[in-house]
Amino acid sequence: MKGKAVKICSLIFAGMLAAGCMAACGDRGTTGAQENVLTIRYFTGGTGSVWLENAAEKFEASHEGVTVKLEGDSGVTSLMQTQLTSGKDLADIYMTNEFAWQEQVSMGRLADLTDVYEAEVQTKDGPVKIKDYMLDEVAESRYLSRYEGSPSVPWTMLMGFSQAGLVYNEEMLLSTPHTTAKAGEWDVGDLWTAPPETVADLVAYCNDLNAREDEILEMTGNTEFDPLTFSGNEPVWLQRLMYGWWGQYQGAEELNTANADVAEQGGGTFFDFWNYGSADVFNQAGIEAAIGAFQDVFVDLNTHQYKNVPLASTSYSTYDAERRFTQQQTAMVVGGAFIYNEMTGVRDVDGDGEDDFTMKMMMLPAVEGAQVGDDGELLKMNLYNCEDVVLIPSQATNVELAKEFLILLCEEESLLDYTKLTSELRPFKYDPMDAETEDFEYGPFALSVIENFNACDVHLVRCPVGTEMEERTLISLYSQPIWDTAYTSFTASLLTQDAGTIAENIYSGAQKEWPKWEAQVR
Amino acid sequence: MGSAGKVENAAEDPREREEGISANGRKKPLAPFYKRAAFRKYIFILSLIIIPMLNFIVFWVYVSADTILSTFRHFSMRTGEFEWYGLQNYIEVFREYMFGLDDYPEKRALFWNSFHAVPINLIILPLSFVCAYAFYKKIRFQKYFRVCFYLPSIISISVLALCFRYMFHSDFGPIKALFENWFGYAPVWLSNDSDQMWTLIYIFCIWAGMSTNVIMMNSAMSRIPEDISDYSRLEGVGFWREAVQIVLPLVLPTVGIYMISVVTAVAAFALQPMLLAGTMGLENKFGTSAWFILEAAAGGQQNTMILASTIGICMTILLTPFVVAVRVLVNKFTPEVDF
Repeated sequence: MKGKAVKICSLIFAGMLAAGCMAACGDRGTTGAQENVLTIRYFTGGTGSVWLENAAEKFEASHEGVTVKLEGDSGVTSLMQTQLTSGKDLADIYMTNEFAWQEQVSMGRLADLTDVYEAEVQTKDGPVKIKDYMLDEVAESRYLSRYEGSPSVPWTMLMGFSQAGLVYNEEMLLSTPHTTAKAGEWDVGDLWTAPPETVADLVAYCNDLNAREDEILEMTGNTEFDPLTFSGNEPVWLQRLMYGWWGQYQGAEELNTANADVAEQGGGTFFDFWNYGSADVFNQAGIEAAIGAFQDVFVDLNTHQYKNVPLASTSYSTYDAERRFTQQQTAMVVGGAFIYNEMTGVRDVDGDGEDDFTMKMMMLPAVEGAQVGDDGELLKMNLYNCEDVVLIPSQATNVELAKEFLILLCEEESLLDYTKLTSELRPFKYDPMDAETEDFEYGPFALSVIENFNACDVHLVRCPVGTEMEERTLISLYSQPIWDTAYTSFTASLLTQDAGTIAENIYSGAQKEWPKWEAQVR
Repeated sequence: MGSAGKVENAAEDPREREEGISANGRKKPLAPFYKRAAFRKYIFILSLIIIPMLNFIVFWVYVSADTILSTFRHFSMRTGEFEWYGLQNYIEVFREYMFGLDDYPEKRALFWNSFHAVPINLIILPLSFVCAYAFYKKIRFQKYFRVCFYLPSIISISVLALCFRYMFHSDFGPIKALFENWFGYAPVWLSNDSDQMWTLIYIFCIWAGMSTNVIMMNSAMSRIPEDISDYSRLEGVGFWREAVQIVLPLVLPTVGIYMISVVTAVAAFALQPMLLAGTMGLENKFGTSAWFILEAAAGGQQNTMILASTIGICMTILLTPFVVAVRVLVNKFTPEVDF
């Protein structure tokens, strides 16, 4: 009897052990997601989450019985990748930074967003389709055909339209006297009244700041000061600064034939580059001009060191660079418009409830040889980052609800909310100033971002603007190599080689790698 | 049961039940196979090992086989399918990552930086032995030193690495302040092109990695009979002479096992450079192949993962002869020690 009881117990325990091992198994598909609970996983940082929480509240108010669950995660990109691959614990919407979504399309993991792009939203000028409401430069940037021969449809939505460039301390600028004169503009001793308009002016501004370093140190109570800083851990932002100069020199919509080398070296316009017609696009003269402009401001080629920046910039994270800026140890920081929101917790170092100084986004100074318009004035160009990705997994539990949420985010009211709360723009044809009322006024940073956007003659984006979808090359659709893909020592060489040599190396690297790039997307 | 060969109670004889042979030699019908003792014994053993076996088959054999198979394929974004690619991935790894024939130094750096694990572990070995011996000899304040040595293995390595890294931060690190006071300037230790980063990684790995080895060696030393220690003391054998001529030979098997792990550490060397350097640095100055594999897995792009798998397989192919050679040498030169 006792022996039988022991046997039965043994069998039960063995069965429980075996069943426990199978507990992790289950049907392929989402686990944890629920009907009518819209789960959104988003990247924390940058624009923050307040605008998303507002949108979620509006959505819940207009959809009875629906709850929106927001899950912020700084590692959402790799998390999303794992979840898309496994199909488990999928969110309904993912919002993340730059991400290679094309591969996910090929594997059938993303939902077709044609319904979203074709949906109508309310604007002050009446209802308009989202695809027509988007900025023309980027409206088709997320289209792709899933199979060879299948029609191109949109698979992801764009999020931000963030100006890349220089953020500056306005008080420091306006209190800095010129140490050199510029005929017709200013004399020695005159104070700066506006941000530098050309790269030469930017170099002069850095020199003027260096000249009054002791005064600034005494004023701020710091022990170190440099005109600029950047995040050495994310050198891609230096490239984005250079892209703006490249577009100015090369010409974006039309070739800048005023520069003889542009016509001579060929390769097309700045926008043509992003269609990757051939390796010759890497031979554009604007690339050398952009690198040269960067080195004029940031590099001392004699000592092979960075100048006008803290020596330790090459070790800085984005947070380190922002910290130095908010503590007024630098007058300018390289980054994007997201920086203002990202510095929310540290803009008030003295604790008086207000920002310690006025922070603004600078219109990108013009490089020597920048394109001029028909009126003979320099064409204003800035690079705008629009590589953030919003996507819906094809296996998500609430695909239709997710699409409705994306449509809500594209309503004019939501766009204005986004800009009000983040000081950033979205790539749509709306007027952010419509958000100003008796109760609300934009701060100086947001105003500077809006003014720069409106004043820009060309919004430079990393898309082949002006190229029809059918004419886009496979490399443009699937791969998009950039300078340091062609010349992997690019960042290191900024300190050791002149612009011409670097540009040559980029071109020769592209020529060498071109067959491989083509083979990878064939 | 009575004496061998004799059955006292024929009715309870298991042979009678199973083998169909009764005590008086008459044939009986065979018991069903599932009632036989041998079968039950094997069922019991199987029930114990079936779950770990399945675990091994699914999570190691299948995964490894699939990984090896994937290294012969290439993902086509145009079709969304994996296509046969032959040995192209291996050719790329050998040409570009191992021998650097494509003039991209950062690919070669990614592969060969992993071998920093060898000198790091070779430095740790004698230091661990000395520390373990000091504890074995119960030097003064040895309990305090034990805590100091074991603390790094108790604290999370992420916290440890962050604290260590911030000591050298160019804006607020105390080491930076010390250097400026003493020498008037401080290098930028943590830059993406730092010439000092590998030194920092070595220091950190040695400091954080010693504790486990000290514990291992100390455990081996604690098995040495006290008679030997007493004899050494009576004969006036010096501190270091005892260490080298008596204790070291007795713990050589443990040292031998450690030597094998020195070689295998190459394939897994990622965490410390990753936590300290933060980025792989310019031209992958601080990157290792294991770090690349981790990033490839996190990034999730199919062809990058395939490349990472290929690098892993090549590393295994490269290291296996060394592991075997070390094992042979260890077996040859480290005698078995019995107490």
